[in-house]
Amino acid sequence: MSNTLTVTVVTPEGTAYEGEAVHVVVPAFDGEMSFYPLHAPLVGVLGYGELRVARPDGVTEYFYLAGGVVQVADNEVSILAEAVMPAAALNIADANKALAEALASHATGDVEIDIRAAQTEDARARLRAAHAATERGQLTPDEILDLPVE
Amino acid sequence: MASPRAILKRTQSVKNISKITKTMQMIATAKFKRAHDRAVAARPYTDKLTRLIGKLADAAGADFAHPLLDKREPTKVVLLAISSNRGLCGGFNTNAVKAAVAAHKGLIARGLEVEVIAFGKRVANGMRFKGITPDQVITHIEDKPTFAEVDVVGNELLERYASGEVDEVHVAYTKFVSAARQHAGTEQVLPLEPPTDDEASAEASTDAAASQQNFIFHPSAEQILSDLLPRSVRLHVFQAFLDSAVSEQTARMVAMKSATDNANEMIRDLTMLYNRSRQTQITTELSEIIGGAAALE
Repeated sequence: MSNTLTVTVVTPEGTAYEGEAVHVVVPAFDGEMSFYPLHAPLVGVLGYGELRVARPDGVTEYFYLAGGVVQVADNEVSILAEAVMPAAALNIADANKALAEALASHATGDVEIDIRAAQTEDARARLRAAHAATERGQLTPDEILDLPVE
Repeated sequence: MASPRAILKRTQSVKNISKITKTMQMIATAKFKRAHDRAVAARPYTDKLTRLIGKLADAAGADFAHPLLDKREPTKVVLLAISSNRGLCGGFNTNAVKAAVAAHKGLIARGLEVEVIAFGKRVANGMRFKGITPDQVITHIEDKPTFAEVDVVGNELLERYASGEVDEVHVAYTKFVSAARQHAGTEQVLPLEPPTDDEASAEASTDAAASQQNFIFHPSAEQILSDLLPRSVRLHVFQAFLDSAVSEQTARMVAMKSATDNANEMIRDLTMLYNRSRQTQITTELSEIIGGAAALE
């Protein structure tokens, strides 16, 4: 068998990413999970966070995932997600704004509390990923100026 | 016979119309291509999701229960009627309206309270004409539905279903079968049919080896399934919109093609008529001159 994984990220709007990888890190619902080739078959629920795909040529690709499911079998990692974007497309200011909005929203009732929690979590994860992208130098300096006061 | 000048004028106006229909045909062709690509792009996701749900249902066992699978005694149902904002696309809107009206009638006959949500001006007007007033008309989802736009609708339905306000959701739309065949019909979105392995196994039998594997479920098959079922509902709604968008463009393409063909045929006939009437006029004038000359002799 091979020593690489085939990674596919599909969304309802199309295939977002397809390629070989030597190592994949996905944001599971309860923390990060990582896969190397020959991983045991697994199906897992994903949360909000960063998807990292280490390509065989040494380059690592970064994406932001907002929930989904991952399936690993026969060296194939299939990720079904509803929204995916390259980490470089993130924006600290936008993430901050989303977080502030989510925190400011007033939730009454179980459903709304769940929604609010999900939005907060999404915004926090976005912010985290954006900061990580900044540290890697993928984001331009003027976006760094909007560092949040926490 | 009409005067040559009048015929010429008509020819010109038919020519102008054919220019417009030809342009519309070309635009529809381009849009069809894009809409079709989008509908096809969604397919890997749908396939994988269906297969995964089948697999999980197998693992979760027969006694798996989920609110979205519950069949309640229905009292209130929602009917989504999807068509377009624009006309000039042959029978597309007519058929969509027909399907929606038939679905409405069927639901009413079961003694249910029906709420109609119409997507597109045409289906809204068509239903009003048939005496059904849509409770909500949404026109902002145009020929390029994005998942985010449609998701709002899907989420709202899921919430209302979860709260017990709505007991069933049906969608009437035009399913895109192939470029030559579109089928207007109704499907039930909620409650879901219990996921069986049958659907998936037909495809999965090819990768039988994969289905034999013992999967690690993180957290558990039941919980993953609970997470996936709402997704599949939202996807179903999204797919309906995509299909409807492709069908609309195909229908318009065909309608505009035949309109252009008809216009060209009409131009040919009119040109012939013009020539004939011009010849008649010349003959009349000639015989008048000859007659006049003969009278002078």
